Amino acid sequence: MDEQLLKPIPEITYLNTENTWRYRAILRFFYRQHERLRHYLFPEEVYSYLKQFGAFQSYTEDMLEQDLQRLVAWGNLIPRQETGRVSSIEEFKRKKFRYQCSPYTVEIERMVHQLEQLGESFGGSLERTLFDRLLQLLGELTTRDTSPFRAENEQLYRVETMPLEEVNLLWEDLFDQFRKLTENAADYLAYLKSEKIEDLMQTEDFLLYKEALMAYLRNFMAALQKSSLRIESILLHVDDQWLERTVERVADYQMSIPRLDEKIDKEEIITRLKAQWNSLRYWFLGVNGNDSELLYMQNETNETIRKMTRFAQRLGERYQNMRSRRKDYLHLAGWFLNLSMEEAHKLSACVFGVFHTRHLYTDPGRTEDIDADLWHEPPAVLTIKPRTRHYRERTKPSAIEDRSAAKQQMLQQHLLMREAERKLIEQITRNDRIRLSELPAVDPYVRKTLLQWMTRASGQEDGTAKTESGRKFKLILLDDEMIELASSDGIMRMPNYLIMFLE
Amino acid sequence: MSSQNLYDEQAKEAAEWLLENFWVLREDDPDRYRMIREREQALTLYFREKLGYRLIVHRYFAKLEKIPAVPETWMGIQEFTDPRDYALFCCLLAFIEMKSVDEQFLLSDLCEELKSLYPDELDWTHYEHRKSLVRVMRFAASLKLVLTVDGDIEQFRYAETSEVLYEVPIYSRYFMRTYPKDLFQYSTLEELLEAEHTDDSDEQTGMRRRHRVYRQLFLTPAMLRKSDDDVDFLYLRTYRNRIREDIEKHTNYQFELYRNTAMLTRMERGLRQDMYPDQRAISDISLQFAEQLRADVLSGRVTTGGAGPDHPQYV
Repeated sequence: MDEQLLKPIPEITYLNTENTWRYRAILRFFYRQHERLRHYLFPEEVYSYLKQFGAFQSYTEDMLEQDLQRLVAWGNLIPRQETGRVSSIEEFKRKKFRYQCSPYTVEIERMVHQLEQLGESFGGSLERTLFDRLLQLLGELTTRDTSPFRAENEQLYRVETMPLEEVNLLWEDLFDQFRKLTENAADYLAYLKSEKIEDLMQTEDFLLYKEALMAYLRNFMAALQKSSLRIESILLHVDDQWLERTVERVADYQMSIPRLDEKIDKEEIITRLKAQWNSLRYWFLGVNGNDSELLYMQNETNETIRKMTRFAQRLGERYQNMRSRRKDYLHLAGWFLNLSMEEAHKLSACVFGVFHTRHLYTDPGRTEDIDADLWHEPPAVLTIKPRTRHYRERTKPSAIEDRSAAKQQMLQQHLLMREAERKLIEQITRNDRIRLSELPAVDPYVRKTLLQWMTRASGQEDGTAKTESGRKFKLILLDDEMIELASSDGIMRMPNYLIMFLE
Repeated sequence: MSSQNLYDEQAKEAAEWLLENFWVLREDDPDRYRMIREREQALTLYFREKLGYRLIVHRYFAKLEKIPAVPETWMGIQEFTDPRDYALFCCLLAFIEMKSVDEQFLLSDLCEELKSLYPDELDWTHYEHRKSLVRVMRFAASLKLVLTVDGDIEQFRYAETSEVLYEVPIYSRYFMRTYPKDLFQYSTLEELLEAEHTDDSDEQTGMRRRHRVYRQLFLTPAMLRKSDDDVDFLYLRTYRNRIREDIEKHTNYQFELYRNTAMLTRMERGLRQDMYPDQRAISDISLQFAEQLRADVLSGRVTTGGAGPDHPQYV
């Protein structure tokens, strides 16, 4: 007989023990979050969740700590030290743990959940065809009957005219697909995120199947994006009337199945079906402004792809550059230790390389005679400054010269130039406007001034600026035609601007 | 000609940075990094052809592996004062090797780990040992082999219980140059230096001689004639015009060749370089000594031993 069959399974201990109610509440929370693709939970989160319930009024954080320890011991939870980067020694030391529920627990909780509801199956893959199938079924369920004999406003949904049996089949298929999709995706992504896989990604084996894995994920993403938009649009556009009629008909069919043992209430079935429908809506569209599960999944997949790329890159680098460097370093350490300091410096230069160069500072070379002896060359003479703190190089006192005449002249010249410029600009201004497209050949100086103005104005939000003389103007782009501005030094092609003076 | 192939002023400047720095980190010095990257081709070509050096331009840094032709004591890590510093430094590298990039670690963890990695006895209650580690960590931080997140390594000098939080940056992976074989297979300097020569050309002529001569010129203050039939010196004399032209085109040094001495000198003082004379008092004193000595030699009071090649002749 197989050994395994004879061993106890500690993971299910929590289901039947003294504090089962506590353990079950905790693990159910983990399982729910796992389904929502949140795999690592902090104790605080669990605590604040439990405290919502009356039964947990006297529950303390210490008790939770103990319960978590117990669940870890049974193999239901996997603790993981938070590895995020911290910014202080204190934080690093306060060992923060997050917990992930073990695959066993997920299975057990799922089973328990299914026992509660009687469901099925566990696979774990990202079946991209599921999306297409889902879309197709959803399409069939929600198409309108386009019979040419009806006016447009009278057109009915096809479910109205379909046999009851068919409506039911479509409905069941649809939710079958949906359930498969969510469960498989959640499991698969959880698998990728588990510590074991992360360890695997750090080994060289990972490189071998990285390509296939990435392609798989990429295809999944592509399918997700392609079909999800259309699914979302269908979900947004079907009206309440359709839903009412459809669930009514599905319920009718289910009522029609003869059952001996129990009496079923039609209202109950309808409520259940509507809840089913809502969960589908929420999954794709989100609820009350919360992100949809779809978005979660998209982010998770993206993140996984990113992570794999990063791992692969690092592995590649390590593979090329870092063949057993550790051994090398330790070999070097021993080598250094047996050397004198002089020899150690030399070894350092050989293994690490030289950090700086050394050279002499001197006047340019003086001789072309290659047989000249350095001793016979005139030396470069350098002046050494005294090294006392108060030393200053002596400066000669000199009289202050009167330069006001020269300054005055400069000022005159400058003003004259400004005046000339002003006149030039004035010549090309008509009705307080300068139309660049209508300008004759202008002086290069004028073009420079205009361009300066344009630069100034285009930097402003409202397109206005001031000229050197303080006139306010606005820069306006007339159309997207290109114009030519001719000048003695060439032609400039530029957008069709107008400069308008505002005052 | 594309800008990549152009060896212009910008390339000269970039070359100088590569020679004067262990590496240029993109994060710290994006402008210089870009400058090097833009001239990568020209620089790679020049350094490979003339010095036999590999220019590595990586996503995160640019680095020229400056292996000397003849290792000198001043070429080591000047911050280190004891062989223990070097040994500890290698153990630190081995420790970092086990960490993943961005991983954080505490000084206390490192200390514990070093005890087992270090090939000899380590005792952190020993002041000298702690000081050694302070030097090593300071040097490692200055090159960005580790990043200090919190705490101050200086405190470790006074108390072995003081704590520092470090992080492993991506650069630490690239500090050490690569060897064709695993490093632990080498046991002498000669083997190490020999390792990079993959071609089997004659040591006395050809490419290897050119690389050797250029390395000496570029890294050290001066190259002295060792004997009458010094092949390297013969090379310098034969090709002096080509070498001068080449050096002046690719760097801001001038090439000087005398009967027994060759050197690359500078007319202007770059702050970043190790130049003699510098601003330290020892330079002033040695200059005064040199002047006196020179006067004595020229007046015949002191002889230079016939100016033979056996006698090194610095000014």
